[in-house]
Amino acid sequence: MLEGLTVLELDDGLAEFAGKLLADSGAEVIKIEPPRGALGRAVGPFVGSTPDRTSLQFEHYNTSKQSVVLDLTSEADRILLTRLAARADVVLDGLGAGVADSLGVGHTELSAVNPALIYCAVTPFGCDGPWAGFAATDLTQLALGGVMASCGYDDGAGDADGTGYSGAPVAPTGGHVKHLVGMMAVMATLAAVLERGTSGRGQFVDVSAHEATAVSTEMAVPFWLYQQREVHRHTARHAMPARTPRWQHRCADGKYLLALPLYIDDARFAELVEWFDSEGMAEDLADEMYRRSLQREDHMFHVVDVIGRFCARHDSDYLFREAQARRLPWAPVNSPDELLADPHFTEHRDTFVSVAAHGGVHLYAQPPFLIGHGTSIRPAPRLGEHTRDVLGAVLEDEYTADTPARQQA
Amino acid sequence: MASTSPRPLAGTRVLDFTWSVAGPTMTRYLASLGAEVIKVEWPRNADPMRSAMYLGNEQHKTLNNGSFFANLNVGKRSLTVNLRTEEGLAVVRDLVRECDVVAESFSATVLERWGLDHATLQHLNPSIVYASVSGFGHNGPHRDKNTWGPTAQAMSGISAMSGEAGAPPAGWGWSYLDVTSGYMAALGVLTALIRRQRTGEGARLDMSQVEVGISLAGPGLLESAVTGGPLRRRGVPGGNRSVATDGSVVGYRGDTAAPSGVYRTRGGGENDYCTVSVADDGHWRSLKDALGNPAWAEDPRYDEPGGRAEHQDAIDTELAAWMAGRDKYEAMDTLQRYGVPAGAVQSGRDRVENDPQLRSRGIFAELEHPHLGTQAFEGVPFRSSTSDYELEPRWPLLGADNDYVLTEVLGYSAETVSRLHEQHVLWPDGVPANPVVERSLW
Repeated sequence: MLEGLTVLELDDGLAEFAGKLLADSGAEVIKIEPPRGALGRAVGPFVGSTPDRTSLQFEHYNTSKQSVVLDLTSEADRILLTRLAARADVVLDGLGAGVADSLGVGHTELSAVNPALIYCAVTPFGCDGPWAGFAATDLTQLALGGVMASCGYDDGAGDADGTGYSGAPVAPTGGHVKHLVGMMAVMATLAAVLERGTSGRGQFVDVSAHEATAVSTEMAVPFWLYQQREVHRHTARHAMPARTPRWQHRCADGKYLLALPLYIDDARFAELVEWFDSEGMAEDLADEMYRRSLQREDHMFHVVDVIGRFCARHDSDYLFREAQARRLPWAPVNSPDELLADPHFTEHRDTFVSVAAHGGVHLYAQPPFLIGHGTSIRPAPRLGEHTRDVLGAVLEDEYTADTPARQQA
Repeated sequence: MASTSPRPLAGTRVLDFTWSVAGPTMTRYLASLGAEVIKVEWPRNADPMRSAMYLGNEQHKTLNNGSFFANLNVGKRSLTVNLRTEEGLAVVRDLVRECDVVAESFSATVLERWGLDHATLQHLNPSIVYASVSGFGHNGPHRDKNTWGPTAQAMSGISAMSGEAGAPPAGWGWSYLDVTSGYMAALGVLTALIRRQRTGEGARLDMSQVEVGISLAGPGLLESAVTGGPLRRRGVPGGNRSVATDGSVVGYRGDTAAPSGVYRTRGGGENDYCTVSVADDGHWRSLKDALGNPAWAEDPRYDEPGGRAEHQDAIDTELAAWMAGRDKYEAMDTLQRYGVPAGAVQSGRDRVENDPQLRSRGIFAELEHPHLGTQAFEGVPFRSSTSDYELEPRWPLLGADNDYVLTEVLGYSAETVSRLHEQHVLWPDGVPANPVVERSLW
């Protein structure tokens, strides 16, 4: 989709998901790495052992990119970067607020050689404001952005291993601050590309991970803005101002089922009762008082207890199949790797792409908006794998561009 | 000034059949980027989010003054038209010719049933970008399964990736995959529009919320695929930690911080907590300085990452004691003065009232709504030197843009418009102009 778009990525972690989305969508993304390599190369999980170990963290976030090593503390390499920027469409700067400026390769310098350049600064808190210089990690940003206040346990479940964390906020794993700000950075960048398509002008874009996170928690902020109520953490379900019945139940096979008790209209509920009753486990749910949703809603804690007892006696795959046959919006709480065995994703849709990488065959998820488009994903580059090719092309182009003038002379 | 800055999608028109949260999030952002979004509904079965959440003191709930709905659908226009009539479908077919994007978030077969499958849309408008958002996508054995955001989260694996080690999944406290599917769908539309600008081609974007979840699951999926071992057995997820005591990654947060945790602060409230992350030796030295170089921190085993990972339980105990007497913002500010990554756990109220950064950046925009008065709305989390991303004070009041759409977009004659009105194609007979709502969802 984005063939022909050239992106320079200067990053220490925050912008690399944005770069991955662009690269996996067909853009030419050149990751500028310092001689020591990007920080992500030293972050696990690893395969292999030192010194030849490969960071799967790095592999995952840097698919389809090229790697060019430049030492931005050296004048000569800064000139090379400027030359690359002169030919690029986009700079994705995840080095931190003001870092590229202090190196002399910020927006001012690069846009001077390329007024059509789109310069996207991806920073933890934005380029200005009282927290602009604050240190940040995924965890601290999930706290400040409001994710943690909405995630956790209200039933002591989190205390199972004696960590003393009962009721404490939980930060979902997986790198979601990078994901949220990455999506927003791509959005702002692609909007700028479209704008440039008509105006011919570049622009400076300032994307804040804190803001991207803070506006992505659905009801928590609206509940305060409009009702001056706070939401409370509830195990595996929406954080809400009031207590709600459970959604998640342990099944006979040890897996959990997300048995969403919302959006169950009277027809669906009647089918649920018939199903449970066919196994002698409907308890009193056939009673008239549960038949209509308006009255049933007053008894949902009990209804959900019955559902929980039914789940405890059945395996999760049976429950998924039979619930969905009755149009109940329920699903097993899978571990991500379990989807690698589901033909819906592996055979019927090109959800995963298999890539011959340096350490073996890797599986990657496609950009979800390109399913069915036969996108190709390339393995993450080795450090400096493309330095010669990319820099060579720049110098050669400049030489060729100069040649006619010389011949005339 | 806002009026002199262009919006990148100015001139792009979106025919918006989306409902609930995921699809409307996509079109909210397209509207913020400058697209003209025409939200299509029929008042008898309008978007249920219209009655999701009202102002706390609202005495008169209608389909037009839901505050959550207003926040989610700011910047859009409203067209009401009955798609169960041939006349209504003819209006929609005419609109497809005048639009750049068709967006919908129904179950997989709904548009087909209306006679508006992708082939028909393409026939009407060869360069149309058709974006759908559904649970599992529009093909495959799971296609017709019933899903909402939380269902997709469970299925995709991201619910299981949230929680304390050894405890049941903690999941997500909201429909994260509604929000992020909206973002991803907007990215899909933008990539398709860029290609269209270059080649003239339209596109079909078949978004699955479960697949969005997979794309956001993080590097754990790759690790599992490469090593052949299930994630569930490795102490993953590891609560708020980045690494286990043996140094193995359990957080996939892009760092190997230890300590990495949340600590109770003064007050005892539900959100009186502060997080700390020590991602490298520099952070550790800074943390020691910030704490006043206490004796316990001089343990040489803590001087390198492996030792800090191994002994993070002991370090946590000391940090918890230091935090206990401090306000969460005071603790954060003290640690940040020394360069230690620390962040208070912020609630909805905290972000609105106590966050100087969000206030300084003006993320919550005060706008005048015709039925709600002046209210704050969640702004766009990026700024541009040349493009205007301020929210536009425009809301899809049911049917408010019917005449604009029919007359100015479609060029219908006054006779045609009044015939459609008389035939009740544009508004159901007997339904008042501003329908009253008895019960709200939240």
